[in-house]
Amino acid sequence: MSKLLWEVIHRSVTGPVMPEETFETELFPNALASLQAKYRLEWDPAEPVMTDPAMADAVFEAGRALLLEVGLYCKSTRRIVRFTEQEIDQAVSSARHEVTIGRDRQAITIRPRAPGDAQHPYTFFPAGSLGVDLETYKYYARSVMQEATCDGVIPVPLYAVDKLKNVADTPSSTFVCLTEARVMHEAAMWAGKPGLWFGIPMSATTPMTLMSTFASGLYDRHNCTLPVQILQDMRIDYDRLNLAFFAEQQGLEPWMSSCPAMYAYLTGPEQAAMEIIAHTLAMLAYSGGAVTQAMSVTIDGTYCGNDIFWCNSAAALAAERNLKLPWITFGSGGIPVVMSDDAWYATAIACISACISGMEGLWLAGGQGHTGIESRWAGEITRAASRLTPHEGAEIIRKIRKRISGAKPDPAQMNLPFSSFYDMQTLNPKPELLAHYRKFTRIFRDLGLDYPTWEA
Amino acid sequence: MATITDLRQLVSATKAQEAAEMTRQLLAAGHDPMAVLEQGVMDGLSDVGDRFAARKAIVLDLVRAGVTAKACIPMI
Repeated sequence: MSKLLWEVIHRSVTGPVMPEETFETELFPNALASLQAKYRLEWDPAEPVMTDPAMADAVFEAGRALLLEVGLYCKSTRRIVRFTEQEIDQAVSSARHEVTIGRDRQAITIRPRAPGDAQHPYTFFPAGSLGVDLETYKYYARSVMQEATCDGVIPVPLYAVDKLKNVADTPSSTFVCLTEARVMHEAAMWAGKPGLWFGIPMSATTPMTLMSTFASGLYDRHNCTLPVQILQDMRIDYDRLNLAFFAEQQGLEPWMSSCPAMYAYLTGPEQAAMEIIAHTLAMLAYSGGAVTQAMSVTIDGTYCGNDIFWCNSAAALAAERNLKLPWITFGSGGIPVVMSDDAWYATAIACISACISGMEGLWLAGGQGHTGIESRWAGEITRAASRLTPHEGAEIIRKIRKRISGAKPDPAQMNLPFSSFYDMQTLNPKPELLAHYRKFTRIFRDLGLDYPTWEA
Repeated sequence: MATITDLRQLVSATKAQEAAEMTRQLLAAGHDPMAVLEQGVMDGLSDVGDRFAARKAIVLDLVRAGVTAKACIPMI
């Protein structure tokens, strides 16, 4: 347990008062700009991945300085919570570097890995799909869990169970989240992986639902983590602290997560990478967690692009060199079409980038169609790329990047029914989808990657 | 001597205090309040919006532009 949790609470009622507008329009952006200039952080828009160790260290130092200079804005009390250098150093030095998730034959221990390590980043697939009925949701979950490269899953949020909508802070939300947990268990049993890790309760949107769901015992310290993630742009509220304390009391692993939105209050990927480091250090201080999820998005909801990949890789390499936490990022290009060349290339970039940035895992790995074969692709490309040096990986990424058309997804190809991709009786991908997968395995063999199941 | 174009540039650059002071000067010099509002403040805001649409500005710039306009408009 981080002793700093109590200090954070104390400072949240004694720290300097500041209007939120002043924090977000003056203190925070001014500190970002001056620290970016001081540490000379500048990305090259032509580079989709950041592999420079010196730049990574500069990102880390700038992020650490950002936390020390700005602190956290507590929305519950409108006060600033600041930390000292000694406190942050103590939080870093006492951080855990290994975490075991899952149980029995599905247990895996996530250990620090460096760029080029033979150990691949673990791949956690999206289980379920958005806006589908419960039966179809189960088929999606089974389709990813049956894959050999499934190291764990992240449930896709359920919006409703039949006509019962997921209304935040009500028993219906808890009911829906419990249903999510039941489906995860059922699908894992079906796939012969009862000890599988289920990530975080994604259908829960409030602390009440999270706590109620864990109280059921369906999710526990082995198969799930408890989100304690910081709010956007260096903000916290008492919910974060209550969840951190609940995690400690119940022996749950906190899920530390940072997802900066670029081009809102952050000018670009350099500032987003700085913020990820500052966020991580802050979460480390108040939760004592280890598992860290870090990814960026643009203000218009894009998860794919040189700026996104630069930010994610820069923050990850900074963390790999200076924190060595179990580091997870988004394992998809975020393009919601199952058989889109752009989507499969973008997913490959995310996976290769994770390998050469020293990351330990990829969450929601696969396509945004949430089918098993998209996730298979992410799992296999991650394993195939695990030994690549940063130079080799960056070369492949540059080649792939040129092949992405950037065209807007065809609406007619979005939200197609699961049955158009999978045989509902055997849960095998249909020939057309398999042909798409095989086309990509050939493309990537030609690019120099290989995997045992990629038969020509 | 300050001009309405100067005000537009200050609003566009989201310099709230300077824009407010120039608004005061323009009105004191007898400029038409509607021209100060439309060609100075509103056109300056539009400039920021255009930059945002062209991905040359971020949401923070829009917020700051709003703060700048808020500093000028009560005097008009």
